[in-house]
This record gives sequence, C-alpha cells and structure tokens, in this order.
Amino acid sequence: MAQVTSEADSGTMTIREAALRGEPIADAFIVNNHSHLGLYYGFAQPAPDADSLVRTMDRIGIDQTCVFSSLAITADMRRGNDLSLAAARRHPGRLLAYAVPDPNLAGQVRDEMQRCIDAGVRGIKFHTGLHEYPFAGPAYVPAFELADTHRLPLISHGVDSPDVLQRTARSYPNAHFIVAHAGAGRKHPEMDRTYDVALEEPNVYLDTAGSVAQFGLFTQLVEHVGAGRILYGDDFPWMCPTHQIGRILLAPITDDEKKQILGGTMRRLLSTRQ
Amino acid sequence: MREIPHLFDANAFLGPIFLRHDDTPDDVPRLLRLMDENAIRRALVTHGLAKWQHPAVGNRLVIEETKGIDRLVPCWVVMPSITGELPPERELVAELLESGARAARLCTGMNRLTLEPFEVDALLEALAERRVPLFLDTNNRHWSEERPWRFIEWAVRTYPTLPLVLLREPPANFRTLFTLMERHANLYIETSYFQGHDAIAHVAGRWGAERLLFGTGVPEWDPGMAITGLTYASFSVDERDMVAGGSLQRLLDNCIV
Ligand SMILES: [Zn+2]
Repeated sequence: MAQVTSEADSGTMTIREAALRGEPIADAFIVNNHSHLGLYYGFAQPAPDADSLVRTMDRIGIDQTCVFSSLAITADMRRGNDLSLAAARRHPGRLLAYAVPDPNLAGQVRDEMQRCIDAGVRGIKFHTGLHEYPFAGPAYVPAFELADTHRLPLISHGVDSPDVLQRTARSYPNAHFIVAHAGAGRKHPEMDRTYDVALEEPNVYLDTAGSVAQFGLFTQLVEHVGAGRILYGDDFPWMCPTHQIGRILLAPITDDEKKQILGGTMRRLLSTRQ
Repeated sequence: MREIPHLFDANAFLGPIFLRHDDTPDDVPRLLRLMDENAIRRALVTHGLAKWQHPAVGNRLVIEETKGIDRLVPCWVVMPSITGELPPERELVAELLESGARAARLCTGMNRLTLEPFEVDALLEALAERRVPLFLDTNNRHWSEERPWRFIEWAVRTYPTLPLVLLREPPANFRTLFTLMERHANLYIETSYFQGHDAIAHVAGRWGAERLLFGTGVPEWDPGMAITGLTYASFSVDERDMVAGGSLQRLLDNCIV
C-alpha cells in the first residue's frame, strides 16, 4: 500500500529540515559515543537517569548511546561501572556500557576491565582530568592491552599530547582511539597537531562533545580532517543532546557527511569487538 | 508534522566582532544570509562596535544600519554616565527609545564595571522607569566561569519593573539560578548556552515559557546548537513558540515609549 508522500515525509526531508521542525532524524543511524549517567556532586543535572536519556534519544532519533556513569569517572570505578552495565541491561541495544578504569587504583585496573569485558561492555573510557593521572601512565596499560585485544573503542578525556596519542595509537593498532572534546571545532594552530594525528593514524578519531561552539569552526574542522574522522558525542547529562547534536544537524555540510559523523563511522568501530 | 518555529533571536551582533575569522558575517547582508540559512526570521541586534569599540559609536551605527530592515531590532549598549562618555541615564534611555531601540545590553567585564549598586543604580532605575529590558552580557565562554549573582539578585529585587535577561546563561548554576527564578518574576534566561538536560522544558514547566528567550549569540557562536536545543525540547508547540520569539516580543512591546 503506497503511502501518501509529501515533502514532510522523512524519506525526502533533509536532516536540516527535520532539525528545524524538531522531528526525529529518521534516515540516519545515530550513535552518541560519549555520555555519562547518574548523579554528580558538581552541579544539578536534571533527569540524569537511563530512562530519561532514552526518552530524549527517542525525541531526536538517536539510536544508540555509549554510557559511562559519572560515578565511574569520579569516586567509585566498580560501582560506577555496575551502574553503566545495569543501564545497558535495562535498555538493550540502545545504551552501550563502557568500562572506566581508575588509574589511582592501579592494582585493580586489569581485573576490573576484564570483569567488565566479560559482562559485555562495548568500550573503555578514561578521564585523565578528574582522575588526575597521565594518559601515558603505567596504570592504564592493562586497559590499552584489553582494548587492543578485543578491538574496542577507547575514548579519553585528555591524551597528554599529540605525540603521546600518536605513539599510543601505533602501539595498540587494533584499539580505536577517540579524543574526547577534540572534534567540537577547529581551534588555534597548536591544536592542529592533534588533527594531524587523526589524519595520519587510521585508528584515531575526534569526538564532538563540547559546550563551547564558536561560529563556523566545526565546519572548518570537517573540511580539514574529513567527516570520517569525527564522531558525534554529547556528554549527557553535563550537556543536553538536544543542543549538542545541533552542531552537526545544522552545519553547512552534506547529509552524507552528517550521517558519517552522526553514527556511520561509530557503528563500524563498535562492530569489531572480539 | 511540526512547523518550523518563528525564530526571533534575542542575542545577535551586527557588524565586526572581535576575534572573528574569514567566515564570520560582519555586515548586514552577511548577517541576513546567516539568518536565512538557519531559519531565523528576526533578531535583536547589538552593534559589534558598541561592545568592542565603544557604545557612543556602536549605538549610532546600529540605528543607521538597521534602518528600514524590519527583521532587525536594535539594542544599545549602556553604561553609567558619570564620565561623560554617554548622556545622563534618563536622557540615554529616552534617546534609546526615540531611536527605535527596544532593549539595552550591559557589557560588564568588557567595560570594567564592578556592578556595585553605587555604580549602576541610576542606570537601572532609568531603565526600570521605562521598562526597557536589560540584557546582561558578561562575555562568558565556559560554564565553569563565575557569574555576578550578588548583582543579579540585587537588581531584580530592587527594580521589579526591570526585566533582566541573563545572556548565555550556562547549565551549571541551577542551584543558584532556580532560587532567583522562583523569587523574582522579572528574571529571564536567554537559551543559547542553556544546555542542561532538557532544562529549557524544565524551566518552562516550572516558571512559564515566557521566562525563556531563544537566542543564539551569532555571529560569535554557532546557532545550530541553540536552535535544536529549542526544537527538540520536550514541551508543547505553544511553549516552544513562546520561547522562540513570543517572550522577546512581549518584553519589547512592554517598553514605555
Ligand atoms: Zn564527558
């Protein structure tokens, strides 16, 4: 039975038009590669729970979100990872749990990462800033090794320097390295080395999450590194996906580029798990 | 199928802004083109040179450059008159309204204002008398920066007829902000940086959609995030349309001309 068609049908509506109308993006598979969950001491974050996140995803048309609880990146790695795993079990196929190592508990990192991998996590997240620990520090090595062995995405907030990132990416070629917050917009020339690494290393990607968005710089970044190196992330519930995704949906780039950034590439990175 | 909202941007600049790049619109035709590309129908505009050179220059330019363009409503940058840089407060506000402007912007850090009551009381009183909405521009970038809460609390309490709009209000201050939203009906939020999870719908549900003004911060900031933050918010189309432009229009119409 043929359906009545109009410009309003999702099949013919551009991503831009759907975004302006506030209609769910129907014809792109969208994966948010960077999200937290749960309560956080630092400021009030409304509705930070898994069910509320999924409701917001439905409104926008986000298919999958990678989650690493706020507790895991702060005071309690194990309880925090359990929160992420429980959220993924509650919303199978929609929320994908990541494991977070706390490098300050160096003696527990390998066992905790292995426990989480056995429980089905889909990736690993570092927060070198909150954990006050360098990306190149020895306590992270078990996490790098497991990401490499299991061919997982590994997103890090903080990579020490572009050179350290490049060395690490070469040392663990089967892991997919994602530089958190580095894909929000092209910055000053000193940032360009990170972009060079993303261009030179086939396993390095840039994440779009970031509250600050200077006019035009995201489009310049897409032109500079190509849509295939950039992955959509929104940092829920520190920021709202409704805002964060607008950087991509309304950018003056093609719909094919938008689809790559929104999830096309990330879906492939998530599919390599062994 | 939802209609595209009638966007009336409460936070836009006309002309050159500091630290722009080659793609940044810096004149009226380029700004209008940017607005068209993003379905922004109207904008309340401050002149870039009113903020980044001096209000005595930019306030005149914004009137000249928006003449005959209904889509652009001028906004002046204001400051205390004691130095003679601008006319005495009451005259300044009268000139603002006579020129066709319908709003004022206070550039706190840029103009090295302390915001102590002794410094700005005459200015706020003159604006409150004519109910000219005051947009507070702290030139903030990131949510971690301090906000002038003591001033904000004093201003909305002391001048209840003065609508005070917080530009680029970040998502990290709800414990403070919500207290003031609860107590003072003349406090308003511009939404361009208001990125707390579903926070726009939350505030609209609690204090009314008319307390929120859609804004983008163009051409300094990317309009895309501000727009989808509005269009995907979890509230009714009526609430969305109020935030999109109804709230701002209401404040502009409320000026005693
Ligand atoms: Zn994050």
